[in-house]
Amino acid sequence: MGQRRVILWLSMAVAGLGLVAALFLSRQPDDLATEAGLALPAAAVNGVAITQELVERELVVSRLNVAAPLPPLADEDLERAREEALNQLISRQLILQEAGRQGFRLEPDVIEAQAELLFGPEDDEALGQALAQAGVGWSELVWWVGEILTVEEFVAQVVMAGAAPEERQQVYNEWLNARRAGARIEVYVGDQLQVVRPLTGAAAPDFSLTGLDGGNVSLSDYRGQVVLLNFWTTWCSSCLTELPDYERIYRQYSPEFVVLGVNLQEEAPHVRQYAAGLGLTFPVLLDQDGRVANRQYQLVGLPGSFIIDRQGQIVYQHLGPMSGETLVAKLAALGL
Amino acid sequence: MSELFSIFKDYLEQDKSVTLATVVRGPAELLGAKALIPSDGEPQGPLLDLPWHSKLLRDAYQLMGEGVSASRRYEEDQIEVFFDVHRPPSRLIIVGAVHIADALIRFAKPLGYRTHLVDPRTAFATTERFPHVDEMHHAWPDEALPEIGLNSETAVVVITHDPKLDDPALKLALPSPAFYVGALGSPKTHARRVDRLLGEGLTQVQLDRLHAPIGLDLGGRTPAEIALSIMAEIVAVHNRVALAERIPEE
Repeated sequence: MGQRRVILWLSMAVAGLGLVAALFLSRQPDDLATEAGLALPAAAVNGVAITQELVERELVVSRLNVAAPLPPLADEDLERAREEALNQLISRQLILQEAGRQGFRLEPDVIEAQAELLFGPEDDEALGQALAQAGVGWSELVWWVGEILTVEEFVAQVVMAGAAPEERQQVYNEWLNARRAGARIEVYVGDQLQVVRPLTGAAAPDFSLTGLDGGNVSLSDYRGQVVLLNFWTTWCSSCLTELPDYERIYRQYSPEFVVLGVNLQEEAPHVRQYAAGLGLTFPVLLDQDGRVANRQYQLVGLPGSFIIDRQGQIVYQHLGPMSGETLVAKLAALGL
Repeated sequence: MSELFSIFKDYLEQDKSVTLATVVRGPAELLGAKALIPSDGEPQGPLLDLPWHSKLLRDAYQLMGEGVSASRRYEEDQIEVFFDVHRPPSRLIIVGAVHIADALIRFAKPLGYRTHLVDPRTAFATTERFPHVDEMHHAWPDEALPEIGLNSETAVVVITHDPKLDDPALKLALPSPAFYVGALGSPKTHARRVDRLLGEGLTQVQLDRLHAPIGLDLGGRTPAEIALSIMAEIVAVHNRVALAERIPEE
């Protein structure tokens, strides 16, 4: 791993990507600054780095159980947990940047008091032991709490202001979608730093996934057709609600239109059972490590849909349940 | 008689405490005679026409308070009545995925409470931090509380120290039948909270039933001690309501 990073570092330096330097100038907690060293960032949001250390710290702090410290994540769960943590950090960073732009901030004493309420007083013995075991300092914990509280407060006071309870999630999703659409998000995919912009007007990132029938399916196989790329899981109830609508529309508009139902990180037999139960005839693909959803398409929630035109451009993206009417209207705009 | 059963069923479906009293031993004309006694509502049934019905009601309320079904004898032990007590499971709703919530959940469970943790802040309300909670609600209190339902067997503990989460929870919990509503906060923050909530339409009577400062004074300061003091207060209120206040005067 270390060697690969060094090689990457050299190759990128040789390539003269000034970006790397820019990423290293990002802000991070003081305790971590000295460790920033040679590690490459995991991602960057509008040029602000999300370092590997931040991802690792997110994994540890988000699992901090003071009363009964948890063992470290098992190796097989680590990669997925990192993906999720990185995704959360990207969304958080986007919101913090917007909050900062609007001059929104919380007072340090409010943050400190909430940190004590959330995790116990700083001098609490059990907390001290849990932090020591996690390798995290009190100031880092307070910093983490402060970021989340700032995000939550900003979302509550500004983003969702005045929204009725049942509208909140959608208002938030749409707002975050719009922020992501306007942001420059760079993420490491494989060994390369890519600009990930699965956004309206941009080329849809290509991928190759195993289908439920065992065959490999690539997005580029469908060039020339309009594609609804839909990310779903069996535990996401609104995903299950919308899939039959998509099936109906798929049958109506096929073969000019295809639905690719990408299941996120579930076992094939389990997915097959649901797909059969819902009567799905369009290709159902398995994103087993979540890489396509989390990294390439920067999914922040489920269900998530992308409409891709015949030339492979994303013309619409929708987070949350999308009605059949909306889909039909989008297809009509593409001449279907 | 079938009418009595259908009312009985209604109470059960509404998660309300109710007792069905039936004569199981005694003179033939009384055998099988019934009365339906809800904890919150009008008792009814032929058994209530008997001259000793107030003794029967008192026993029904007492057994309902204890949550146990049992027989009692009347008229020099000549008549035996079985009280079939149905009480919905007690619930503890905690608003705020804060440190003491974990200890509260741990104390509540052996006391027979089903625990709900409400906090829309998904980064804090994780199953890793609260592995013992029965139900986690990643929702705002004004969405989660109606969904969980606030009945007379519900205790609500509001501990986020953040008005944007505490206030909506209190606005729903205080006018509800919940038997206990408590909130964390110093006397100063409590005074400000009372002003805010009065301004938002709650009445002084509703606010008077708020347990603030929360918990019995056990003199403790650690999170576990605070959680114990809150749980002790909940148990005390629960028992007092059941044993003392609900017994009708003879």
